[in-house]
Amino acid sequence: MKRCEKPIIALIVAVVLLCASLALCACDRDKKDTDTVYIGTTALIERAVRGEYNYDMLASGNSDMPLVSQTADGNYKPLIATYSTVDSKTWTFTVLENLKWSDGAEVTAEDILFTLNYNDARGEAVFNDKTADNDGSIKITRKKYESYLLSDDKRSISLTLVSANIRELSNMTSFRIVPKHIYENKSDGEITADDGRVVCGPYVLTRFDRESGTLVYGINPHYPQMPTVKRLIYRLFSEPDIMYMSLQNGDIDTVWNYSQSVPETYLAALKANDGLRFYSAPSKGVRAVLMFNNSAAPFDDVNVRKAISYALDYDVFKNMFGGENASVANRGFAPMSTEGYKSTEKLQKNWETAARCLSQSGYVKPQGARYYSKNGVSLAFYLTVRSSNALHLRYAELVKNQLEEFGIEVKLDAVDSNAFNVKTSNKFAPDGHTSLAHQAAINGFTEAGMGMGNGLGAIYVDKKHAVQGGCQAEGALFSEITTQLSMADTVEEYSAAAGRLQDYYAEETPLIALFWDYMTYVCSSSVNNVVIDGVFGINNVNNWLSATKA
Amino acid sequence: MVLSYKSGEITAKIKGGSRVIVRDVDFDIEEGERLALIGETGAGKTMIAQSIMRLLPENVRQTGGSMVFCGVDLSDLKTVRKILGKEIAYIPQSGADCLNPTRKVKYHLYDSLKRMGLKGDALKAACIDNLVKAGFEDAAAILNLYPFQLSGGMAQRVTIALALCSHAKLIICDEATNGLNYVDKTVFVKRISELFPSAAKLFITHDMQVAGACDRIGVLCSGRLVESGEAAIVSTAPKHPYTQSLLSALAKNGMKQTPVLRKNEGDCPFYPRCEIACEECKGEIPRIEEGGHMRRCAL
Amino acid sequence: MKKYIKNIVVCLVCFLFIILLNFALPRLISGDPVAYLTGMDEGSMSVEQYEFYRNALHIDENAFVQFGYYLKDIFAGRLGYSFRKQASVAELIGTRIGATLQISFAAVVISCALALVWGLTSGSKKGLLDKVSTPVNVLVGTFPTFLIGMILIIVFSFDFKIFPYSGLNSPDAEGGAAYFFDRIYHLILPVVTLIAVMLPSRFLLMRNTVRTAMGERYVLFARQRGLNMHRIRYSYLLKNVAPPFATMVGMSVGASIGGSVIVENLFSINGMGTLLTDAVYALDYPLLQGVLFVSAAIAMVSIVLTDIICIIIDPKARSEGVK
Repeated sequence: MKRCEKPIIALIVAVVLLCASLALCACDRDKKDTDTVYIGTTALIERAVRGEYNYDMLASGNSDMPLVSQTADGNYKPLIATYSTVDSKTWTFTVLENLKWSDGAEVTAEDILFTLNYNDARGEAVFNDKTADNDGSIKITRKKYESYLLSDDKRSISLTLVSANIRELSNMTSFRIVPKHIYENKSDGEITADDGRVVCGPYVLTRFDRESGTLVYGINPHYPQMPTVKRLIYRLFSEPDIMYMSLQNGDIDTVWNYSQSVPETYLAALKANDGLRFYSAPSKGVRAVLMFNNSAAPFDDVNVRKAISYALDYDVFKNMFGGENASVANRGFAPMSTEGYKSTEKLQKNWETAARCLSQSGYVKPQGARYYSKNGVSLAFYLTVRSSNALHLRYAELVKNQLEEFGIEVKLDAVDSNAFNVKTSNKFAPDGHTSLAHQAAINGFTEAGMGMGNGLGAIYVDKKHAVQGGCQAEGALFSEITTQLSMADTVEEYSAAAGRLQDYYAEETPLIALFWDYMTYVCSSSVNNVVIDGVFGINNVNNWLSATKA
Repeated sequence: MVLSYKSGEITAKIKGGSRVIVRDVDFDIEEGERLALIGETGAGKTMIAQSIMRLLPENVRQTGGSMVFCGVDLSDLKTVRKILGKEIAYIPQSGADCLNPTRKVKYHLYDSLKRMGLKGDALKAACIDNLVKAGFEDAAAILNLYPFQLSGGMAQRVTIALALCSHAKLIICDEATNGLNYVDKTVFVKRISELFPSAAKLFITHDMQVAGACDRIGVLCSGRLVESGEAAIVSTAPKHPYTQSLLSALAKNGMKQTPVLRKNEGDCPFYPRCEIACEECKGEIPRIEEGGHMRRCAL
Repeated sequence: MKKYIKNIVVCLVCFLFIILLNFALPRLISGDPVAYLTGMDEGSMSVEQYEFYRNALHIDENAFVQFGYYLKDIFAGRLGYSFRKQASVAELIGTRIGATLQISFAAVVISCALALVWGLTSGSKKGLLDKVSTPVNVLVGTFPTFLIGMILIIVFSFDFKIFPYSGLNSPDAEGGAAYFFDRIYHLILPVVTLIAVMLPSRFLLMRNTVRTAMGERYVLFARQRGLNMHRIRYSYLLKNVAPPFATMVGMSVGASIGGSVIVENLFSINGMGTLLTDAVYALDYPLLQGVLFVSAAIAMVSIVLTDIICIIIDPKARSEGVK
């Protein structure tokens, strides 16, 4: 029967192809090099060149290092330059000995200067004030440095800040430099991908393979110190479930995402695996924040804000979302590992206090009524949250459930990232706005974010901050405290001002930390001498310089 | 003896129970003999044809019957499948419906011929040959037509050609003369007799003219065989009241009125409508056989 | 022939309509067209950059001139530039579409072929095969894509460790034959997942159409002529049940260009599906426009082709009616 034969032949060919591919490839599956560390990440990386944000965060941990690093316990270590200061106003950075770019050229302080000018030319207020015209209101961002001095041997640069900042080093943990000898003669369009991968760290990107979703880093021969891990391979995953299953299976040694802790949902399963080790570090960031818009009703009223702070059940948040080191936060908001931490009253659920706060502003809940109301109008607000963040959505739902049980109506406003930014940050809000659009929002602050500006998350609270300012807090007291913070010349002065700010948080409740938690990292037990970084977690240069793979 | 048929009971499962369609219909067909099965629509004639070919519909069961074809018992499905199309041929009522609308005529013929084992040039020659035998003058033109391009008569001739492809020992014509006029009907019977001289031929019809052109006639009433005998006698001087009323209903005999309607009682299927029915007809009906003629009547 | 022409003309008119919509919508929405066309907002562009784009996009000229430039771009293959991803849309689509075609297209072809044979066999026989196949397919048809994918990954990648679960190739695959086989090795699981997702509805359509057709007179006559079931299926039934099936296949080929986001996500493959969803989440308008434009074009071509194939199959429509 001729007509039957054609499909049968096709079938046989297909089966043969399948078997051949299986035979060829299946045996290679478990092959893994013993001097390579495999890192899984769900970061979305398109081009793998300098300038791509996700890539920059990843590369900061191996090749494109920042100026200094901060360890898990808060101390600083030089990566590119040593640092010194007398008055916290003038900082001198001296490039480390024998530090070279991956194309062999020497790293000098001129690269630091060039990078500062490079950023300035692209809109950052480094050496020059930047003005932005918002249809009538002129916003001026004041320059950061008032002067600089390059040493004769070009190895050191002294930068004088406009005002003293004892926490300048924390800004330097995310300051990366570009090679002057390549970038100075080329316009933006002329910088090639290879140019964008010239780095001065211990590793250099040897291969970016889109088809297999891997980034391979080999040792930078020009780096003065030999890293203990010979090769780093990052595997890009689209789906975290698959990534954690891969970790369980031993195909990757560790998992990394910028400023992300291993989610609770996976921890229980992972802990059952003897081949994995867990590392904890106190977190300087706050993962679950309830921000109020202090400039708009109903949260322009401190009594309403306080009432909410006493209406929530924080133990539930801690138990549901926090790891084993989680704790209920204080009213002072900043976690315990923050520089200048001051102990304030712990947040707690107390409905009587909450009811009292509300009644002070005229809100009552008559017998049988579901919500508190004033002059016949129920107390209700919109809670804005990022629709793409599943965890945030859960926080929002829980807040809503608890508050509605107490007697305040909450309507969820889940929006995409762009719309969220427009509603909750000064930079993206429409021009000429007097107040941001949200009433309250769920957000998460990274360590870096908490530490920016004056620290303690002030950039998110201060209405006058050019970029953030989600809480829209203002007023004489607040301005005075922030001024005191920025003027602090010594650690003691800073701590005193920081204490006042935390007292302000505790009293005025511009925002609430739903819980405090540690950052949990996981790594295969075949990797020893792991070093955790305060900003970048497990993927950091110091780790690869000392960790050993069994 | 080409076909020895005993229907047994053919029951159909319908909503709310089952209905006996055919009961105790027995007949034999010899080589070359033409048997006509006549009866009203719904009398179960087509069911009998399907039962011979073992192609009864899903909800119809046949029990207690026996069919022997040239010594072969037709109760084994596999045997029947081998025989169909080779030794038993079927000519349907409406050719146009029965042909595959998306295939040309020639492929229909090729399929049937391939079944007989023909290939290549012999196949093509036989194809044309059968079309000519079936009555087409320009066989080549017909080959590449699609069924929807054929007239009713042409379609029927194609079905005849398809039957010719086999070396059938039994031809079943299922109301194949519907739509033809009187002259054409008898011509049809003659043509089939010429094309298949030695085959046993079963003509299923409700037309007395067609039945009259055959050798023997069996009369079905509501699935029971009420009379059977020589065609000449049954078609001109029947002995059963039902057959008599069939004859008198013919236009040329002067259409008589619809017979009286009674409630169905007892074994005789014609009881509700029989003019001359009486009390004896309510009981068991005897089977009277005299010299090649059979009738089931109490009178 | 006339029928073909009518279909093609309708298709071209639709296409023109899509081109017009694609052109007009971003320019009609209230807001800055530069923002919609570049994907960036005023605030993050310097004044010079803004002016540059205004000129490059010919915003200041009248609508006809703009349309002219737009047409010129389309026919030159320039679909726009995505500033968020810093690459031309054509380039992005070019790199991604291969991955999508390898998965979606293969799955469509295989699932259609399987559904055809399986549905035909199952619908034409009332035996054990049909009694088992139909409920199984109904059941599997209710499974969501990610469930099927996850189960396959857990069983075959982790429990039995036969197949890989991410990417299109192994990191250290060399070129040539080894690369080719490695690619097939990586494609097996994603394609099987997609087949399992697509097959049930196709099987059921085929099987039900065949089941109905089995009651037709010509099928009965074919059996009365003693033809065997194989011949009845492929020479008699197939051509008659083909039109609805062909239509379904044609539509799904067009739809498969959008890719299966879920499968791409599970298996960490960068295809058109992820490209589209990235564009939607980031509100990257140039990329959105480009991807939707390409998808619409391909979908339309496949629908027209399907229509033409249906016309070819149906002899009534083909011939002028010879009597």
